[in-house]
Amino acid sequence: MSEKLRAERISKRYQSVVALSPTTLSMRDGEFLTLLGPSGSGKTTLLSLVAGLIEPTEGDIWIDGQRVTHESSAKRGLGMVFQNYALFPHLSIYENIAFPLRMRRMGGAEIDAAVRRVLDLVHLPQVAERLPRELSGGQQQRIALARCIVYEPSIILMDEPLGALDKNLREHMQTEIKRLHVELGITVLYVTHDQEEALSMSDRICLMNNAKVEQIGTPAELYFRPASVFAAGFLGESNIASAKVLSTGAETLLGSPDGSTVRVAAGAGCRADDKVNWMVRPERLQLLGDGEMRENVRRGQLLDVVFVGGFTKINVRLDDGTMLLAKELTSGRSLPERGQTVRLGWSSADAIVLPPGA
Amino acid sequence: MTATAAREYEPPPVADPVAPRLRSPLSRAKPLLPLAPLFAFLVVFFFFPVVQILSLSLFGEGGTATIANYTKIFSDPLYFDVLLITFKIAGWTTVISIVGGFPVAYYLANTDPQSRTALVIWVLLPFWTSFLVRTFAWMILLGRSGAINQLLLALGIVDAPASLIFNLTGTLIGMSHAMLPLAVMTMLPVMQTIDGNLSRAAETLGAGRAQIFWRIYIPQCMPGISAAAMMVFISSLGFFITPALLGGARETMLTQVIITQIQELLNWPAASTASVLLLAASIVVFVAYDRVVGLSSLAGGSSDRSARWVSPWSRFLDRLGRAVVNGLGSLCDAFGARLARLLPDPMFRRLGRGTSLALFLLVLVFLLVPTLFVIPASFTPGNAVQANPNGFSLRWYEAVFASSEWTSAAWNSLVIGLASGMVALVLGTMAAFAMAWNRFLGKTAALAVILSPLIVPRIVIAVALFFLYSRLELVGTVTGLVIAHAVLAVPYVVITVMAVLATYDRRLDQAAAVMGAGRWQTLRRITLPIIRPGLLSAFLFAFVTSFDELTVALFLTGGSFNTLPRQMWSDLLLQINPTLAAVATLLLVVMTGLLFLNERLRRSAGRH
Repeated sequence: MSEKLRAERISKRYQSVVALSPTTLSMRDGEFLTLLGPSGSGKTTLLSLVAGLIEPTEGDIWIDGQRVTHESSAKRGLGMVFQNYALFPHLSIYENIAFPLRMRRMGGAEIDAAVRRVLDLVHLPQVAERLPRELSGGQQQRIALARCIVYEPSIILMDEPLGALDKNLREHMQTEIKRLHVELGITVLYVTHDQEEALSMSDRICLMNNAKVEQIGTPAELYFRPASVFAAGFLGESNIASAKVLSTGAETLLGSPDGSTVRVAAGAGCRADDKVNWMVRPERLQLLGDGEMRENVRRGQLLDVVFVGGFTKINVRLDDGTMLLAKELTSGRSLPERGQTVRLGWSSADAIVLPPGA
Repeated sequence: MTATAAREYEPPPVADPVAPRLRSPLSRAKPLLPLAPLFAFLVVFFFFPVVQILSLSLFGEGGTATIANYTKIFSDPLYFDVLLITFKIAGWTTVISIVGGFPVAYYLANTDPQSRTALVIWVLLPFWTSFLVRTFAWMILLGRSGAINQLLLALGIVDAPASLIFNLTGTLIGMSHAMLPLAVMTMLPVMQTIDGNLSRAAETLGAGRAQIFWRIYIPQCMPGISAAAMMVFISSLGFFITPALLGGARETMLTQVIITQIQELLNWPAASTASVLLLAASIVVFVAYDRVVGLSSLAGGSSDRSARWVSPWSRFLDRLGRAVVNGLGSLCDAFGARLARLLPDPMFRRLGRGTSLALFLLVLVFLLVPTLFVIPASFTPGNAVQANPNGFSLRWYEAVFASSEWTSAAWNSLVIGLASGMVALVLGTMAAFAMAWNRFLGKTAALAVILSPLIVPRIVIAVALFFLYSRLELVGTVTGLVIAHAVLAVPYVVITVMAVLATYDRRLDQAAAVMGAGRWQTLRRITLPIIRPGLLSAFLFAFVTSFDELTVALFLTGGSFNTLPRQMWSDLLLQINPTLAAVATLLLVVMTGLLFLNERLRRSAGRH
């Protein structure tokens, strides 16, 4: 598919503060790309640069093959959904949605048809004459979307659009946005700090930290092959420990400071004697029964068992003081008591060596 | 769809330990008890005398009820003229203040918060500067040989000195100068709360800068603009110092007529009738404003039209306003597009920012510079008041301090300012607590009662108190003036303290109560210490209100008992002399000092 958006070594500095280090990013037509990261990671800066709300210090932006770096926001043909929706409080819902069309000098009949169509699309045909403050948060959210969709912008930018909604509504709106994305084939650049939102909605995720991109990839790639300690820690839960590479080959052998070893199925371009971090997801750790074996086994004291609905978290302290978190589907089977000695095991295929220096 | 975003802004009310409906009516009224002293005070020294003086207009000489006074006033072309002139001057002052104040408020609202706090002081400086000092400064500047005419002649703009004083021009210059800060300070809070995302959203939706400004920004500003217009217009209606000193015979305003009727003709019914007219005009403007815009937007709240009945008149104005701003948007957009084609893009952007800064500075210079001219004038060795004296001398300062007239007037002003400030602070703070921390039926009405000394023109209060005091033998006494000034200052105290209490975290009180502190202990050890900067600020405001007050003092002082403004007024009417410049400079220094003190208090109040 064709390239919709390209940001080439784009950066933003405010005096001595770096809001965004030089960043290169590309989006294909119809893609749903999420900028994910903690606050202050540069994701909103990147979005604002694409939107043309701030000017880059360096670098260029192309949309549909056109260089738009110095174009005003109004001329980029983008749509943007703001965190607090930015619905114009003095205009009716109808006039809010008609606004971009009026700015494009469309005819009255055309505007009317377009506004009615998108109101149907977001399932709110009855609110046209109301004022924004008369709608609930979720309704305002959908109107903000409608106002964006109505003029068929080439890319829709969304800045934490669900941040102000409560959990149930947020999940509902995630499906709604995803539905519109699929139905209309629109290209979406989405900003969030909520990892679940990013994982469930995106085609690709661009993980950001400290004003730069940590990793770009599909949700599965980011989850199963994190490229750094930060990526491993930010997405999902993980057990991370440092170690030294003892040997490489078909299997990598790591040595922990306490003398124990960890076997990992694949290396990650590391050499012997490298200092690395390795990680294993809690759901890959298993409580082993007597005589059960895995490639990697650790013995420790069970600290507590936390029932969180669909799954159960098990905290274990190893003999050397390291904490390990295991997670298993709640099954109803009896689990060991607090304070008992237990064994945790995992296969070498489930452990990941994080690239050195990351 | 449960949560509504709009409702989440409102902080949750602090839960009352006892459900209100379980309590008896008497104990339910108990939290409102602190309102009682202020209400009693206002009833005796404000409502009763005002109603009495206004009712005088309904009686003839023999004490019989009549409407003759009104028929006389309406058939007399002189009164009609004065009324017309009063409206004309107030109207023009409003237009100039809004147009001039808008760029200032716009610039302040869109600059970073730190520079805003610093810049606001400079805008407020003339507001705090004594009224008489400012008018005096304009008299120096606008005269035939004044600084402005000298400048115009030197630049060759005019051949002969232009007449800038004792006419409409002089009056309007003086009055807009006085009213601009009020307009700015009323518009600023509204403009500060405008969500910057709205402009950004409009930009991503394809609107140009002109379209954004007219279609999105201006409609958001309208509550502020209309509130400012109303405040300026109502305040302007009651003016008399500026038109009396800077205007000519054609610029006689209603207030001046009232003063003449009483002080020279002792015609109480006529003065009363004119007072009714003045008050009625103010109230009509106020009510019209409430009908069209809604009083709630005065307090910075959004005027929620959906929740209330919208008058057809208001709807019509609304539609008209929309059409106007939309038209202006498209017009300016077309014009801007031409301009943008002529200039490269970055230069076009800079042009916009530059214009906003230039307008801001221009108005700021107009606000600040004139007053500064009294300083050199006070150091003149000669006998004439000049903005550029040849030489330096302290003789006029010596003259001020040697004159028992000036020193006793200053002493009186100080004592009255402190005493009335204390009275207003105590009464006002008690009321503010009751108002801020309770929800009760008729709260809006109670607020209207408390604020009414601000709405009723000062001259009406002055005449009313004069009438009351003449029978209580309080005219010409310190006590009388202290009470009168407390009436004028108490609304400011209530507003200031209510604003401070609105940001006060009541959980601190609850925490103290949980730890075993009683109501009084909590108040004395927790609440009052925390809001102390706010209380001091309110006290300062009350002090300055009294210190600068002339209208009421004009009636209630007499003989050897004078206040500073009263003494200045008498001297200004007699002749302008450098002693006045020296007094004005001293006042300028004191007032500026107080303003900066107040600013520091306000800032430390904001830290909590």
